[in-house]
Amino acid sequence: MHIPDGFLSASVVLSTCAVSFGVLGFCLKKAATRLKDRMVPLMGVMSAFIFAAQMLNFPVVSGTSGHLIGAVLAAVLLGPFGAVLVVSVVLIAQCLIFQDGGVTALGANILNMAVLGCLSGYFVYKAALWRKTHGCILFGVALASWISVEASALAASLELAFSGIVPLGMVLPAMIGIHALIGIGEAILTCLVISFILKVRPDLMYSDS
Amino acid sequence: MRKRDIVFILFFICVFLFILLPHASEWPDGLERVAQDKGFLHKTENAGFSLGSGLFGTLLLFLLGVGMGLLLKNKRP
Repeated sequence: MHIPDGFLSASVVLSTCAVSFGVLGFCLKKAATRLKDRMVPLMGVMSAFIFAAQMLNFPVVSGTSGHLIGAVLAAVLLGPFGAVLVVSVVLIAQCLIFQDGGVTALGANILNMAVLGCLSGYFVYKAALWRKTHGCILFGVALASWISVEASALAASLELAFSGIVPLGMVLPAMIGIHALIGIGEAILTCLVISFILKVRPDLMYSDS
Repeated sequence: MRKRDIVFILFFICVFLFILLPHASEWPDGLERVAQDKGFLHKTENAGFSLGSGLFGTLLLFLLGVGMGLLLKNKRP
């Protein structure tokens, strides 16, 4: 869902940049207070994993593919603030080094996938977690993954519409529709990784305490 | 996480990329497809990752992630 250069108007570019980098500063502060030593290597591993996973597009319907965003995966392991930072680092490197996603759209891409993806996903995950059984955790992860993808798609639609490139009534149903399917892929992949981690290293799961 | 675990996971990610990247879907992703259908896709280049850039990026991102973690650790109140 990386928005390329040329889609967004100057006002959308500036406002999304302002919001994104403001939130990133806030997350840097918050993540520092909640960081545990064991999370340092995990941040590296998660960055590498999400970068690699975002390259592997899977087909959803004929002629359309999707890829893991990894926002909920990161949020469940690193907490919401650490996750925003990790996904942002991946997006920044993709944009500046690998020309994936526009430089002018970087603020919007960080806002959609890192900020909204991680925060909405973590909120849903916590809300769905009424028991600490594996089944309950995986249900929360699946629901959160799907909603995080839809939240990103909603934000991207709004940004495109505000940029005047396409009417909202046209882009919103199309984006929400196709990302409802991509979100299922996100949910399945995130659940696979988390269920594996719950089996071998349950201590890696993030907890507030 | 022990050093051995980290090396193992990174190696695993690289092997995964090596196997799966040639089979990754070349179809446009959700946003590109919508842009195509709704007629606002102005000739945007598809990044088209090579295996080399994938492996390089994976290691680079690991270092960036750890670097950020260490930075946060130093800033910890």
